[in-house]
Amino acid sequence: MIEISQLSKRYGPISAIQNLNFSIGKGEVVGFLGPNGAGKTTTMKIITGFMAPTSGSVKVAGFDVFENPIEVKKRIGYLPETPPLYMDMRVSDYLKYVAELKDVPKSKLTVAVNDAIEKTSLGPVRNRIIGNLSKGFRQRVGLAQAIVHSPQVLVLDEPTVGLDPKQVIEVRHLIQKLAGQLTVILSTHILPEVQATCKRVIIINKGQIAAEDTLEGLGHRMTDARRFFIKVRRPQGVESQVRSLKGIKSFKKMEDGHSFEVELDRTDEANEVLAETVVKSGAGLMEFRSIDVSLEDIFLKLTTTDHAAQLGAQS
Amino acid sequence: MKKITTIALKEYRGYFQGFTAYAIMALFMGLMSFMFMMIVEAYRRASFTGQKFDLAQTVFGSHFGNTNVVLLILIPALTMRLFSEEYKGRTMDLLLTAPITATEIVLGKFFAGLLIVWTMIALVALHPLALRAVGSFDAGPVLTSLIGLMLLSGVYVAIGLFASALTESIIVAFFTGLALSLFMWVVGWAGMGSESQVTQTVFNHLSISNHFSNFARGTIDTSAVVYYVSLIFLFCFLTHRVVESARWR
Repeated sequence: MIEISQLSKRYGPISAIQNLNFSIGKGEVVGFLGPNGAGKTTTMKIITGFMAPTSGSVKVAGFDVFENPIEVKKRIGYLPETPPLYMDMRVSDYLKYVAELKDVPKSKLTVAVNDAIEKTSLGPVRNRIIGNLSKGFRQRVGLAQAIVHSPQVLVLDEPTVGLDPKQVIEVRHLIQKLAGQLTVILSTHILPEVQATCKRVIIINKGQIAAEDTLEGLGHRMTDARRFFIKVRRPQGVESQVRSLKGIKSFKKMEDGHSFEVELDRTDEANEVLAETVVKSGAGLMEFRSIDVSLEDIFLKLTTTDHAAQLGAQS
Repeated sequence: MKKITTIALKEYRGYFQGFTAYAIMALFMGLMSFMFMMIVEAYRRASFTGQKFDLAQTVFGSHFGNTNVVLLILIPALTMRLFSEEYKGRTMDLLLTAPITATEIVLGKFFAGLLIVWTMIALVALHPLALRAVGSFDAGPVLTSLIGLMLLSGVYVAIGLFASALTESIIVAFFTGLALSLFMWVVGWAGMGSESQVTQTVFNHLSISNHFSNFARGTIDTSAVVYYVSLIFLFCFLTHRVVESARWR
């Protein structure tokens, strides 16, 4: 659905993105992740035809964004960081105007507007002036604006920023609801958002792709160790026994003196061996669980300067 | 074409949302009516002295001359929001990512501005109409003046639109539009001191005010029509370049 090759953009001497390459298939929901200033918004602006790249090409549904911008724009719904709302218009008038701009035929205008209002649950405020709505509602109007012409691709730039937790969940649900039917690119620097909505993640840092994989794939790729959390009643003596295990990578005593974090080589029997050792030591096992590598860990690992330098050296 | 209408109508309605258009029109109409009354009164007194004045020239010439000056100041105030507000409210993103061309955006906004100004010109056309009810005069110069005014206001709208496309501050857009329009109005002065006949003629032709006087005399001067239309085209074209350049910044 979206193919990006060798995409670069410079703002004067500053390079915002360099040689991005990736493609997104039909119906995929992809999280576009990166710290502030990594180039997420720039990339999205180029995909939507808002901005021209310095070099490289973008194809959406087979159309080149620069040779055929009108065809591409018909197929894309875009929600920028700040929703493009006319504060003095009523919700339904605004959506009607957007639908007209986006080539919805006159006979289908009302249906398209009603549809978008229903999908975003804007019914109760459809005749209100946008400027008088709360931020959560405005964000939803922004989403309605992006889907009013039934696009094939949805580009969302930080769709939940500045919303309260309840609204965040609502917007996420909405995205999940839409996800089945369209291709979605969603940029964010909030990690749980990606976990909640996306199958695949593209992590971008300093204008380059730092990683691209499924969520689980990323977890596996980052570490070949497994981490466990253990809590025992009598901690004396456990440490030496666990430390002598084969394949032990690290052993960390927590502040309460009763719990430990243990890292072992990634093997099938790691859990078993560790559990058995602790039980046999007679320390009185109270809690035993495995800790997954969180997306935060991956993200930090990939986007801190050291690792970026490493990547640069590799490529 | 359909998109141009969509944008133009949206912008035109936008003027009537809230207070702006009503306030401006009421003030405009009040001001113009006062001036018209004073002109008619002066004409009445002068006619008692037994001198013969040409009604079209003295009354309507001054009336439309005044209208022009007031429009020169009011039009930048009406056009300043056309682009600046889109920049400021981040709604330009919507226009630039919708399947429309920069030409459609510029023309849609130009016609919206033109339409609101023509609405105001229709208001000042009521004054001669009112006079027509109590006396008779040759309607020709009135009509040509109105046509001239409509064209001339098109130039101001195009200039104001261009000024608005340059900045996201509506205040800056207003003063830029005003200064540019005023400059086009007085540019003829530049030739006045010159000894060269050619220089004088060139600057006389560049000035939009010299072209306007012919309309007031009851003639439709084709060279003036061509000049006004080219100026409109020029400033719409410049606006188009500015809008299009947003993609490359």
